[in-house]
Amino acid sequence: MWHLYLPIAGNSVNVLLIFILGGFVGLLSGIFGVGGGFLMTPLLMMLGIPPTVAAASDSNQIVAASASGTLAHYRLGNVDFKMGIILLVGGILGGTGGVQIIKILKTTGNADFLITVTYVLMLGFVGGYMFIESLQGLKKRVHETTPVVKKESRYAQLMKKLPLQTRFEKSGIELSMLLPLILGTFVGMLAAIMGVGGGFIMVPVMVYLLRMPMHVVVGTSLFQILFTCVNVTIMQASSNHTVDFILALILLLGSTLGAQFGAKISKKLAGDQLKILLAILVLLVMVKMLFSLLLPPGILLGYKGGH
Amino acid sequence: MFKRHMHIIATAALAVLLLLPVPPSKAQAADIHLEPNLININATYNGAEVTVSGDIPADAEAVIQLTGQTQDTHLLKKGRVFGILWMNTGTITFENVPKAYMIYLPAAITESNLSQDPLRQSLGIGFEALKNKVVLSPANEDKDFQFKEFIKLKSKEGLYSLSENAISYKDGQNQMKSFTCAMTIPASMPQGLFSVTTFVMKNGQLMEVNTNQLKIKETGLPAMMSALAFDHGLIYGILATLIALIAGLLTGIIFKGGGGH
Repeated sequence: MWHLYLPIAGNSVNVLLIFILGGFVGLLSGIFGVGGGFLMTPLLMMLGIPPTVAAASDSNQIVAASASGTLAHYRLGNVDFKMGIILLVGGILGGTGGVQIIKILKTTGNADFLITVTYVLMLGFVGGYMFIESLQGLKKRVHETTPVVKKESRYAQLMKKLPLQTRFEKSGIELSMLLPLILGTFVGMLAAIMGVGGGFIMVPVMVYLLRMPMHVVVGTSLFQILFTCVNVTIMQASSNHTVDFILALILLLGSTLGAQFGAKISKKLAGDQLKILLAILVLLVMVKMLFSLLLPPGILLGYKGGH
Repeated sequence: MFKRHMHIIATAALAVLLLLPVPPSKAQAADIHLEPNLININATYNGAEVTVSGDIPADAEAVIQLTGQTQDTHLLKKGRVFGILWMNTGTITFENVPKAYMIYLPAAITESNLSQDPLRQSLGIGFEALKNKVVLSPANEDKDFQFKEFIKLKSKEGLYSLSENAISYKDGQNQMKSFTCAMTIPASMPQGLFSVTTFVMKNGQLMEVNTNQLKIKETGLPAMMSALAFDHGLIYGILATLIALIAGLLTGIIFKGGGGH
């Protein structure tokens, strides 16, 4: 009772457990604009789903969660479609390039080591920076009433010199179209190399390098993730046969609901509060990864795939 | 060198003999059967139980072995990199390992005396015997160590097991006794044909070998899904994506309708 058999995963799961798992990750997705694969894949593996099937089926369910989340954020006026599409184009270019880079890296031997260490360092850097920056922001909000006139940084000056300056209405910013294209390519490349969706690399990039308001970042990131996951699901289903639709269906029933609630929670929180919570989440993922690298695993053999 | 070859040939010959259907011996043509011998995987399947039962001489012991088809299994090996970080350090292939391997022992036989008994070793019963049949690639791997890890991995999936005190006896007539053994088939067991072999032994002698086939097969919804996913991957992927997209948008619309915010 309460069990369903997953034909592609080749195992049965407790429906209620998977539904709750979907709801929880969907909630995070709606709040922070991340896909949540970094949490979902290892949890599914713990429930006996093969790593490749866990990752591919998760992409399938993120299509639903991010569609639900995008719609909710669109209603709140928080999706910058223009920015999202440019980032997406960059992401596709970068992803294609990243797949080629990883092929070259794999031939050099220590690729896994380099990738993992870079990943952990990047999580630590991004999480740490975001944490400190938003903590200062939160303190300022309490102590100061007059806005500080910021001196234009060298980065901001450089941004203004780039050609193809355009206005992004929803984000309320003006910058060169080249910038999101280049940054999108960069994130897409990193995501492909590290084998992750890239949501929590993209969110800080949008906040700090594109200087978009935090709420628009969440909505726009979800919009972008939607298309990335449509692509991944179809590719995985057609070439590797690793998408378990039954699993994705149970997950998405939970995650679409979670994403709706998440969007509402996100609306109630201030930008800096959102940032600090995401920073904590990113740092927790880093600590978890660090532990799994430092502690000897119970079994010294494993299956291929996954994160 | 010649000796080594002879050894391999002898082992191979024994393996072939074991694979051949063994004609029931005349004297104790025991009636051993499997219930059920076909497991259908339907939408709510969550593993199954299979009972092996039959009659054997009162002073004999039964050992039951379930094996799946053999295949090469490629796995990632984990090790320490630069002395601190545990990571994948390469791949390792276990050649000719069965998809599933389960041993059920009566109270009189334990795992430790299974590996010491030459008869049971020559019959290939138990993990020790299995280890001797398996070939590792690359060949310079520490076989004892890696095979132990392999058993751990497979045991965690529920596909390899060794159950002690798992066969119960009941006294019967004419110096015979009946035995039953309840085998737990986990949901993770793949589709296919499995051999359930009952070895009847007495005083270090093999009296009888009886093999029954167990078939595990997907039916209904799981069968349809698998067929679509494997034979029409692109259509399956597009459908899965479309349904997810519609479900996501629909939830969004429903929430707007009933949300009232």
